[in-house]
Amino acid sequence: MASDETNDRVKSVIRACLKIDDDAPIEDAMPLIGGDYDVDSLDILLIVTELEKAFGIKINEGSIGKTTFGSVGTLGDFVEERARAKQSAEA
Amino acid sequence: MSPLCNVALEYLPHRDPFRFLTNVEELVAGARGVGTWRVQGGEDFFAGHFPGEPVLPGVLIAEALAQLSGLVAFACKERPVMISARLAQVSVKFHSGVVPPAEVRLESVLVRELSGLYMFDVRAEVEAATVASGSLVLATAP
Repeated sequence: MASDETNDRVKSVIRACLKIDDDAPIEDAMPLIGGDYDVDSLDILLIVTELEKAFGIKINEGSIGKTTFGSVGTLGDFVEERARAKQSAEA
Repeated sequence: MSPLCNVALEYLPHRDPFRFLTNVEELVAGARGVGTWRVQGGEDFFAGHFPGEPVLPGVLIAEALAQLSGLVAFACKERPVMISARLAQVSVKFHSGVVPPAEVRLESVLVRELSGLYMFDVRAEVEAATVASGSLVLATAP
């Protein structure tokens, strides 16, 4: 499970991409597809691109799916795993 | 200049008065492109933007960047693909106004393709000064 810090950074990216107010709640379990904000393919493109910049990781198209974008939490898990893999590769 | 540059404009479905690419100087299909829009000052839209004080509309600079981006993504592909592509998102900052006559240098780099969406980093320069920069997305899906 991703750390609170990772999930908070993911939420910041989501807020920026979807133009969500700072005071609007985003829960870790909130579904991204079909939820309150119901992200579409353009939103996913923007979020993935910004996550790459924010975390310094590379996200391949093949790894982007409904599971990854199931919720903020699953997206946080995915990003954290990628960041760890990058750190291991550089060590 | 690559051989593709010589024929690139043939792939562009836009025609006068809505073609804003004069030349293509560099084109790496599926990766990046550089082009030029030579703005003479006599174009029809300057009659209203603005009478006696012509300024190149920023939205047309964005359109020119989108046309170049279309070539980057779709040159060498079937013409119907290019025609069906549409602008899905524009996030461009306009740094300064452009007064004709001007040669606008356009740059576009394909950043990512995802599910029929093509994201580009784009930039426009006049006399080596950036006049617009940002990103845009073209979509092939309806």
